[in-house]
Amino acid sequence: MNNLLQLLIRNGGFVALVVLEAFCFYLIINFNDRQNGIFAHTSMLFNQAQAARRAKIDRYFDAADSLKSLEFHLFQVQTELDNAKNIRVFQRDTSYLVNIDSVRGKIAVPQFRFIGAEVVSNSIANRNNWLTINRGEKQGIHPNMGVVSTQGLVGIVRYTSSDFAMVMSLLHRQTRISASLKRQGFFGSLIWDGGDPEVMTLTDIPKHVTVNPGDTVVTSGYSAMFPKGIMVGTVVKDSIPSGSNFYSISVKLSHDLAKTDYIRVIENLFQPQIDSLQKKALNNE
Amino acid sequence: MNSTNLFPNLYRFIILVLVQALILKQITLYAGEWFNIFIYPLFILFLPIEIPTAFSVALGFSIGLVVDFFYNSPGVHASAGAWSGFMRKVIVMGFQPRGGFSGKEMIPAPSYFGFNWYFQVAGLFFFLHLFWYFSVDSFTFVYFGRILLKTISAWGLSMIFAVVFVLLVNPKR
Repeated sequence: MNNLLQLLIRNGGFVALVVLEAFCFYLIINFNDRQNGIFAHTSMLFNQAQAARRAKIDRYFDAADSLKSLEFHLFQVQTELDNAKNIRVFQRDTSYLVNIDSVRGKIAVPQFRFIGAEVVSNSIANRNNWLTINRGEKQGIHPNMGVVSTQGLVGIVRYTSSDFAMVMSLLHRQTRISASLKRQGFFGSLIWDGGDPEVMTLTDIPKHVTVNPGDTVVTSGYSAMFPKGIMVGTVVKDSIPSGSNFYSISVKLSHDLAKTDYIRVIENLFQPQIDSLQKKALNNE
Repeated sequence: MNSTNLFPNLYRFIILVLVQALILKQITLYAGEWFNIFIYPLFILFLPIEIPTAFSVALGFSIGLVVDFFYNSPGVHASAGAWSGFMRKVIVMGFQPRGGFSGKEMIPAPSYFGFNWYFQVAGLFFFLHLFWYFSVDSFTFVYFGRILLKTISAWGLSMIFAVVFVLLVNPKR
């Protein structure tokens, strides 16, 4: 306090100058029309520049949010695109046209429906890994539905509650997904041996097939859970175990399961039909 | 400020403001904006040498405000006056004679320091005052050249009156 007083006394002239000039400034801009006009104009320009600068900074800090919303939007669009892609088109039986003439020609029946969801928990380090997603029975999710992301496969729904569902990750001992080599067209089963969370093994490809590193592996469409042609990954290494007639192919997953945030659950709308048909066939054996 | 120099300063205050408001303002009104003559800053310059800067700033502000009252420009002359009150000490100390002030000189006037010294001090003092005044008056540096030209023309005219004033009055206190 003493120091402050001494400082004031020593610089009293300067303090007085600043205070009085501030007062003069107030007088000038309030009681002189010309200076007032200049001041108003200048402060307007300044405020505009300031607002622009603030908006720029705000945009910078909002970047994370807007990226999130863009991601979400992209994800919705991709979901719709997937829905549109997997619409199966039937030629209508002409006999029905007698009764219904309002819809002529083709009618579209989608085979798969995609339900968007967000991952709320995830693991990759265990022997058996699980994801939890924030959609459940209320949104029409049931066990044994496939789960994909924009880049590739994620897993299979195993348990559901009303609002959440547990997804068995691809990185699980029980995972067994029908996948095929896209170029060659041969199909096998995709399993995970544990260890590297980026690499799975494709088995049951017969040894007469030529397999090259870099070949694309996609879903085969033979299981009712995944539509045909969803990207799984690329071949990194192939080998034939001694005494076996089948390859054991290492596949690098296209979707890094460590970075899963938005996923889509696939509902096969023909599942009940397919199930009952297969049941009938098995019962008749 | 004590009784010996209170009244001379008070008289100077009144006389300079009256001359400024009644004569010099009329000249400017008649001759145009390029013929500004300001003599009231002499009051600030002729304050006692030893006066604390805070007082000279306040007194400069006061005479500026009174002049503003006549010029109908609240704050403009007051701002220049406060500025001059501050710079006055700097200038006078910058021009102090070798060995410093003896204490006998009461005001920075030619009667103590000679006419040459007075002309330099007053010249610099008036230039700073006028430059500040015209800057505040136009309130923007967009017309910097115009401000400078106005300052120079007003400086020449004002210095004539500043010299005439000391020739007529030759203030000592």
